[in-house]
Amino acid sequence: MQNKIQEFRKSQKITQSELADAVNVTRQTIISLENGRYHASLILAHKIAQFFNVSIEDIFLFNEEEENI
Amino acid sequence: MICIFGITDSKIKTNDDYRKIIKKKIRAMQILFLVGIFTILANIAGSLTGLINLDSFLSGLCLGMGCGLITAAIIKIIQYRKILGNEERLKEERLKYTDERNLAITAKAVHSATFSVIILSYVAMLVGACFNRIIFFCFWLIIMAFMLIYFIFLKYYSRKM
Repeated sequence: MQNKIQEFRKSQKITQSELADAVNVTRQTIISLENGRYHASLILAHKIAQFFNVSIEDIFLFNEEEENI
Repeated sequence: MICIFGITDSKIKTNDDYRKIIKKKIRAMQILFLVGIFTILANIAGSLTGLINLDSFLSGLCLGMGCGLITAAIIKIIQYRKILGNEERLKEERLKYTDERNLAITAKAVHSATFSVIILSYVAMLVGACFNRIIFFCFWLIIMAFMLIYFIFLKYYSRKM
């Protein structure tokens, strides 16, 4: 699953550390999310979406083909 | 400090909550320190009085483990006290402790390590059988105990979740 976390973060001039502090995770988790190496849980996805004031679907791109649907 | 077994209290939301966890860990380290002292004293007392018959290997093992426990406990207590004295550091450690990615990594590592140890125990059981039946039965018991405990927890968590 891809995401636009880096895009939203840079557009609002927020550092990875600031985002990590805001959603209560480590900076390394934000890095892994942005690289696509780690998939956020529903709660973390919701917190990130809430932080950027958008819906989860705007940040996390669900690929139906990839998920075999 | 990342929780070793990937289990953490989801109610840890603030530094104050985590401070309580650190204090519990300090208490646990103090108990570990006492266990280390007891191990060494029991070994020495046993050797002097002749009540416990330990060969040089086991005696050295007990002393080594006792010293290891004492050293580890002292180091951890100092580390925890430093964390308690620094709010920034406390927040950093709290985030590491509750971070979902860290918990997922720890859970996967424990799972892989457990599986690997069971495979190695099985191999050791077969090899040990060639030399001594006691070795065979020790490893056999470990594997049987693991399977029984695994199924018990599987049932338990199936009902709970």
